[in-house]
Amino acid sequence: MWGTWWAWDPRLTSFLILFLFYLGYVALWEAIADPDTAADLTSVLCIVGSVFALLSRYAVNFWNQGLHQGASLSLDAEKNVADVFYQPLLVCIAGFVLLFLALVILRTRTEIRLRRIRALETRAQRAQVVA
Amino acid sequence: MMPDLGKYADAVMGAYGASILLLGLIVWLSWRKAAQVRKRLAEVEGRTNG
Repeated sequence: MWGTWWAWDPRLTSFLILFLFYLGYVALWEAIADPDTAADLTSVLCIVGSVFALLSRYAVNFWNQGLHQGASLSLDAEKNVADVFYQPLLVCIAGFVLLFLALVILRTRTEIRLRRIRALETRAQRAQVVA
Repeated sequence: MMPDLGKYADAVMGAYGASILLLGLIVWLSWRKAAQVRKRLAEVEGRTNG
C-alpha cells in the first residue's frame, strides 16, 4: 500500500499540481495592488484551476495503478473503512466543514469592513476637495 | 481507542502536531486581522460621522 514518503502516484502528483496552483493563486492575488482587478484576474484563474481540483479528486479512478486506495466513503453500503477509522473520519469531516464555514464568515465580514473603510475614507477625501 | 502506530508513531504524531499548529496559526491570523479591521472601522466611522 503506502510505506513511502513520496511516489509519482496519480493522487499525490495531481495534488502537488493543485497545491502549486493554490500558491500561484495566492501569489497572483498578492501581486496586484488594486483589489477589484485582483479579484477579476484571480477569479478567471480559479475557474481554470478548478479543473485541477476535479483531476485530483478522480485521479484514483482515472489512473488506476497508484498507491492510493479507492474511496473511503461511498453510497454503495459496502464497508470500505474499519470502525476505528470510520468514526474519527466523520468527526474530522464535520470539524473541518465547521472550521471552513467559520473562517469564510470571519474573513468575509473582515473584507466587507475593509471595503467600508475604503469607501468612508474616499468619501471624506472627496468632501475635503469639494470644501 | 488509539491504534498502535508502531514505528510510524513519531511521524504520524508529528504530522498531527504540525497540522494543529498550522490550523491554529490560520485561525489566529484571521481573528487578529478581523479585530484590527473592526477597531479601525469604528475609528473611521467615529471620525467621519462625528
